[in-house]
Amino acid sequence: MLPENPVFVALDTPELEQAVAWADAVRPRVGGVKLGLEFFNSNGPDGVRRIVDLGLPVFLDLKFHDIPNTVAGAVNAVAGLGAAIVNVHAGGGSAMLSAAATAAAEYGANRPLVVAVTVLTSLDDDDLASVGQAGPAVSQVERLARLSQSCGLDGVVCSPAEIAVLRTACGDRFRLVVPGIRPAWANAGDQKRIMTPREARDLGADVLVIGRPITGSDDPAAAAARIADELDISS
Amino acid sequence: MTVTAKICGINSAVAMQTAVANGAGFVGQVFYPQSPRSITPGTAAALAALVPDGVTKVGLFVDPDNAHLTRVLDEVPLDLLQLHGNETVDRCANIRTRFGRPVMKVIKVATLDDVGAASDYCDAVDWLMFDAKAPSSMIDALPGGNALPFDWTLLAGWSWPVPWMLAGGLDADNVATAVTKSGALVVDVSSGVESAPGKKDLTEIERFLEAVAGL
Repeated sequence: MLPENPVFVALDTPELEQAVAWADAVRPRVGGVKLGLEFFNSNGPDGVRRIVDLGLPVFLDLKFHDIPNTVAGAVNAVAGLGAAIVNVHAGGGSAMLSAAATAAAEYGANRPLVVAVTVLTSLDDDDLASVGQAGPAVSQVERLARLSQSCGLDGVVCSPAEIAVLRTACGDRFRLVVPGIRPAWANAGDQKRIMTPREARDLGADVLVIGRPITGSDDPAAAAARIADELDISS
Repeated sequence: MTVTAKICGINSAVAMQTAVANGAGFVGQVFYPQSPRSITPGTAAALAALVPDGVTKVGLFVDPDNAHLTRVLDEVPLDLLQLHGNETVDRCANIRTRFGRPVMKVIKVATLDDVGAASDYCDAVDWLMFDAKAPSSMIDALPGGNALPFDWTLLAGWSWPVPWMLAGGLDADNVATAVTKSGALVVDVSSGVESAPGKKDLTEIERFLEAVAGL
């Protein structure tokens, strides 16, 4: 159900033509593309269809979080757009998660994978406490991942640091979608600990979401090719 | 008398958090692939980050070779190496010297003679642990974590120059009796706080630690 190449390029732009140009450029050497809230709220469902029509699997990263009926309707709508992966907030609770999984299942063999967002990576342990959630973050992530799995979701979005713990907690078949990956050569010199695509895949990540290291490079096609080469994925 | 507990076979963040929040003095991680509680060094390192200073992080190994110990210790900051296989006295001494960490040798007990054999190890190790010897009739027996108790009175009256722990079939309901009969000051539990092999039960961890705190 997922492409052999785990790299999904984040097309973080409000400009449809820019997104199309990036997708076209990287197409031969990536597994798919990711569209987020900025793109969707600028270009709407028609913009998504335009990218889907390019023929690459699309991860539609809209992070639904509402009452079960509303989320089921939203998942149904984006599944109809042809998205390959959609996501919801695990904090919506078991009924909402089950409703999302059920709505996707109605698309049968063409259904999108439904993955859950657990704890936003921008939240630290103090932030969690301030919104009334028990930390440490990794425990809350694990708790929500298990809940998502028990509700029939295909996987979760998680940080590189959480891959190993979630593989242990949820087994081999649970999909781990991992943003925050960057090749060593694209490190812009910031202080954050990085994980390379190869390290993340070897730890058990199924989808690697990579944005700026590809779309911010002078030659996105070459950057995507270099990452594919590092993952030993032929074109 | 203060009795301390070791929760062994921790393989999830919530179980680690529950153990340290409820007063475990030792937390154990299993690096023996055949065990349902076995975890990778990467997982162990992430879970170890949840452990505050003052709680001893124990790694359980079964007849490990040096390469395996090196791989684990490169990633996981273990405080004590628990040797749960058939390691000889010389091998225990060698691991302790080579890796520069305290070592605990597990002695598997069925008879009084088994207990007596512990003395041979006392110069080579920093800790002893007494666990039940699985009967030869037990199919698929693990080196430990088989939920088997042994006759705790076999340990009464001994004294060793190193501290020791009691393991083997302990749970919240029998730990008080086990401590009384054996004289143990540290108790180890794994299967006794699980709902199924390898599945830690958070409520049982809390119950066990509460029972130990009351001793």
